[in-house]
Amino acid sequence: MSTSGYLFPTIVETLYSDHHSWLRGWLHRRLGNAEQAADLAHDTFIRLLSSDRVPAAIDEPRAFLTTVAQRVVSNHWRREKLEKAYLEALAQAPAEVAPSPEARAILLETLVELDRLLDGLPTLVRRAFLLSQLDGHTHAQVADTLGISIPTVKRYIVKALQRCYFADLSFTR
Amino acid sequence: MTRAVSASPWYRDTAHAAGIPPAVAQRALEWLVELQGDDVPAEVRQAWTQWRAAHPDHERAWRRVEAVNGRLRPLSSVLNSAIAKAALLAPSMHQGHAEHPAGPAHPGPAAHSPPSGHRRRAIKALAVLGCTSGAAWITCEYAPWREWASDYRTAIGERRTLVLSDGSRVMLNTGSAIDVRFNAQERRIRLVSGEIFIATAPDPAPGKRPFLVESAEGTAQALGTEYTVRRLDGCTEVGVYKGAVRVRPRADSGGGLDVQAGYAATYTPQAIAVPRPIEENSIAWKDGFIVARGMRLDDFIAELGRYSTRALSCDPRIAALRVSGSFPLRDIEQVLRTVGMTVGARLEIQRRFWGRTAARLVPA
Repeated sequence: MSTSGYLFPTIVETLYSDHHSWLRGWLHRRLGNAEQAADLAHDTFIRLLSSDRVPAAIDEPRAFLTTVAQRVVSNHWRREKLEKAYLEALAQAPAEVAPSPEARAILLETLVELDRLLDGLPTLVRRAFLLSQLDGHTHAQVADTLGISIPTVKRYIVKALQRCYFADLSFTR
Repeated sequence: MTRAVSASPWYRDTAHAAGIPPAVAQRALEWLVELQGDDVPAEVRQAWTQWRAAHPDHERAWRRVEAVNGRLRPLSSVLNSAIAKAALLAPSMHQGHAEHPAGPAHPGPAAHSPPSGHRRRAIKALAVLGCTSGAAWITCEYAPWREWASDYRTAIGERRTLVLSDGSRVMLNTGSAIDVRFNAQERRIRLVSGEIFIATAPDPAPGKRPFLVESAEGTAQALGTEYTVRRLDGCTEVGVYKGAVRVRPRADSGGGLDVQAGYAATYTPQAIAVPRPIEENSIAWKDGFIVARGMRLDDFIAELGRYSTRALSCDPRIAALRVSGSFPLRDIEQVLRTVGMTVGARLEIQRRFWGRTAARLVPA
């Protein structure tokens, strides 16, 4: 939880009143789209409000804001790319087994979170994880498919599982 | 060393697990991988139970595993797994964050461009669903990605009867989907998946419109009949119980073949196999039963599996044992136990991925 307690919303308020338009402009220049810039500027401040890591005093507010905004933009693109890949995959699915709109929304949110958690893992690790967890392949089958040893498969799976289940911990290996 | 990211909303219920030693978390994950193997021996399960009980941290770590499993459950159906894999492996998904697409900011559903070459390959993973032959037809019919919903469908294990506007009755078996397309010229049903039983009524409309069931492989036209149409992998099977049915494979320009009552025929887009006699038992599902007469256990389990959301299997050592009897479809687990008793097998429930379970008959 935030250490600043009730001071905290005030800091964000100040940031907002002092720098909100500037941030919007900055985002507009990067995104090329005013409406989206407004949305993501808004999201940036929302993110600050719900964050527990806003420093009590900020020396360089604009640098600070752009760091946070970068992450918001990055997540936004990542989500859009994932959603696009998801919709394309869905369109290839046989019509009769396609999920309902509610199920689709839940599925997409699950994918977005899973993707976020697996972010940065090497492709092979990701694939080992997905083949075993989503396709239910045995370790031997995954090893065969990816051309790696079974102990490596297990190691890769555990690496990805660390991200999924305990992303809030730091592992040494 | 892996970095700690900001905690996931998936952890909200088990936020206290964040305080456990990484070594304990690591052990929990190793147990998870262990339990996901095929045919996990009882001793392993026992050891796992003991590990959980050995220290409160162990139990907390396991609770976190279960909490996340709950969140991952939407991914556990065969279809959703395939979609998820295709989306998460799409090449653009693991490039750097530095890109800023120059295209429209909100592509939205209207911009459905065909997938690029490498993405098409990634999506081929969906071929494992075994619907490849129908896929081209279906995606061509349902090109706008939004229009998926079939007019009528049943879930796995569900049965449903419909009365159509002409008085014909359609009964949908487990996991089936149809579209009803009646117009001034014809009474057409599109069988998208699964199995239906049709009892046609004479057309009350003046036109005396033909009654057809269309599938990816062709059409089966009723000639005053009761018949079943069932989609299988790459082919459609018609079973005629009354009257006759004219089958026309999609790619066959000939007049088609008339299949008489008491016979079944399987057809692909190109050809129809020779009709063979059918058993009345194959429509026992309409009354909620599955009937076997000296059926191989593995074939029986495959057929029974249509009615269960759980994966069913049997040990290869008992696959050739014969099953006879009439079993209610209401409780699949009970059917397995009953069958198990008659062939001397035991039912084992296995924990699969993310809380999915599988049921397997093994030698007792």
